[in-house]
Amino acid sequence: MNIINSFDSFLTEAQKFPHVADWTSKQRAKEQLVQSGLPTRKQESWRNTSLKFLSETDFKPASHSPMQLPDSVLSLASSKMIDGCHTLVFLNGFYMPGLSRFDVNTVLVIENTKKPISFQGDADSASIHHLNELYNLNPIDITIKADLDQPLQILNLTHLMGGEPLVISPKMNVTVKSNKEAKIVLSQVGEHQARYFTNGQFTFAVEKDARLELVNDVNQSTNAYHFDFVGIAAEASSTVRYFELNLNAQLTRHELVLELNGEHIQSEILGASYLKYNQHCDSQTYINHHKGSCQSEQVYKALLDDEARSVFSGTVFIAEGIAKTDSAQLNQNLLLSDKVEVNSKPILRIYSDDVKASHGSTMGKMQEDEIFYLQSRSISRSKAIELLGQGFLNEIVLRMGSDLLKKHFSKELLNELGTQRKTKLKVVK
Amino acid sequence: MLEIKNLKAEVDGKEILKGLNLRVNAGEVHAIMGPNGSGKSSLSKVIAGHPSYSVTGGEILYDINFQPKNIADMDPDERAKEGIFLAFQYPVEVPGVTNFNFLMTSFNSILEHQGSEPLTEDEFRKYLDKKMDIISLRPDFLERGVNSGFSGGEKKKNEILQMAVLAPRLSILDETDSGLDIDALKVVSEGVNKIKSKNNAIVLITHYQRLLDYIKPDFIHVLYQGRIVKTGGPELALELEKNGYDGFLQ
Ligand SMILES: Nc1ncnc2c1ncn2[C@@H]1O[C@H](COP(=O)(O)OP(=O)(O)OP(=O)(O)O)[C@@H](O)[C@H]1O
Ligand SMILES: [Mg+2]
Repeated sequence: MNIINSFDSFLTEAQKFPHVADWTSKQRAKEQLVQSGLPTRKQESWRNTSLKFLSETDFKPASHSPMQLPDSVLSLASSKMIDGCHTLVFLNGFYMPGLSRFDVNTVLVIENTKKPISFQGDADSASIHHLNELYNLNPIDITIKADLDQPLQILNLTHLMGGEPLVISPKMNVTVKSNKEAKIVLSQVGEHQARYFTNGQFTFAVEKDARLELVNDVNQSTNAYHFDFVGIAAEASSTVRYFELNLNAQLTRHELVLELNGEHIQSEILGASYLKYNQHCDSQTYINHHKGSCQSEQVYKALLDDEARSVFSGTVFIAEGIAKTDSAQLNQNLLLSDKVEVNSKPILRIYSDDVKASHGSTMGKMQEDEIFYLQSRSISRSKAIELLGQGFLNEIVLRMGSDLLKKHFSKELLNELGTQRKTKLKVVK
Repeated sequence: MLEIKNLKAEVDGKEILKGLNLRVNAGEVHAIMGPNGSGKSSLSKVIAGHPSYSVTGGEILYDINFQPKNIADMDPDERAKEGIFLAFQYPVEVPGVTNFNFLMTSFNSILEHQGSEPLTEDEFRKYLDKKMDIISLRPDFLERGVNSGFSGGEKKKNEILQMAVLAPRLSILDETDSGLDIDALKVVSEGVNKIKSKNNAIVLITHYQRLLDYIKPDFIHVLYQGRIVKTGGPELALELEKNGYDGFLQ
């Protein structure tokens, strides 16, 4: 409960900047939090994920960075920028205009927005949202006014700058204006091996006929705890493509809510996770079909090694009386070790008859015939396993609409698998 | 280059090869024919080192550094690095791994084994372009997942592309002709003929004479119930085409 109690001192400190935030809503969030407490494993959506780490480490709320940034921060920032993208940089949840580069004719950024954005998320997770509300000090509103010629990278950097473990609470809302197209990468990265807790709230309004392709790339420090809420409200005839990549963090928890508020929306919700050591990744998705003639396709793939654990829970809601809904869900897990754990749970809440809905979940080991095929081409067994593992996840990456991002993330996957496996040089029979 | 002596091998406890003998020298083309289920693909997999098969008797001698060596205990990738290549009867689909990445990883593994510097992406692309011409594959094949969604014929072509890139000493082509249309058979055969030299050897596994019209074999073997039961010159294939296997198999 440390994390809630630090609020009072935080409040005293931060009220020196009264203009930056809505203190009454923070006070309210604190009261609600004290009342409900944090989720426990008795709550259905938290059955497989423990918040014990919050009582083990004293995470201090992040505050504004000094004007003069240490070189280590600057070099981390530049190493994480994707060439060929516009970039908005956030450091510990605070916008860094000086490090950002983008075209002001297409992207509008407003700091300290007080625009209310409300999503009906998972009730059991409300206190996690309140926690973000407590500590976010720099809510941002981003508007995509015109088609983006290049992807927009929103670089969420965490750096402790020699200090204590931090809780980072970014909050942003992105609007893609009617008929406009945007490819956005949320890069969630941090200082090598640092211990911190990121708890972000990212909401997206995709207006009529707009097209959003969003990559949520979680490649945090291996000692980090990463939580995020991604809420996407899609209007009629829009297209939403969401890619979730989980490459690093000690513990990850995603809550994704997609509201299909109009007809003829095409949506794809895709995930690729490479989990190793004792990493734990929990993805909760909620796809809500409120109007007819919409498609939602979900494919979540996880490659698990060592003692990693993966949780996937996909809820699809189809409202009463709506027609021509097409919804598919698939969760595939490839196991590289006998000690991994997979929890997969589809929840279909269907109140309409005119529906095509499918779901499936698979779990398996690598095929010996595939390994042999690669070996017969001179590729060593361990390299073959690495390539096949990359291939398994890369199928998701290859669905990206941008060649630049396809290349970037294919490489990132391969590097990740290569370095991980090289250090272990382990061969699975 | 290859000498197989009294080879016995089993899979899942079932004996498939039952004392097989075969000798292949550099510069030669051999064809192996035989009824379905006689053990032709099994022989090719045993030579390449498939882990499901265990060798229970005999030897597979293959020249490494000009010395015959029994390769029965070598890993498949070690054999491949020494120049053994198997074009699969049923090439495996590897979605997500691009053909380009696959070919480059494979080629560089061999260079590394030979103690040479690996090629960079650009260097390899140049080398690959020339090989692509040999069997006229469209460039976009390189960016697709290995064999993933390829038609039957495209998969076979892809196997020969790999052969062209890796330049093996001993190539075993397991029914590469089946599934190819008439034009593709010609293109692929011409490709194989271009790769063929006095330093390498080719073993063709086939059911049909037509392939042998394009790639002229020096020897024809009939494999039946896990053994080579007859060996002859090119005329044997014509004879088989006319009379079927019944004649020999009493
Ligand atoms: N895993 C296995 N378990 C048991 N029997 C097997 C196994 N794999 C292959 N066989 C058997 O081994 C025999 C030889 O098979 P193989 O594939 O080598 O035949 P082939 O000569 O290549 O036939 P085809 O002309 O149809 O390709 C067959 O009877 C087959 O059923
Ligand atoms: Mg066969």
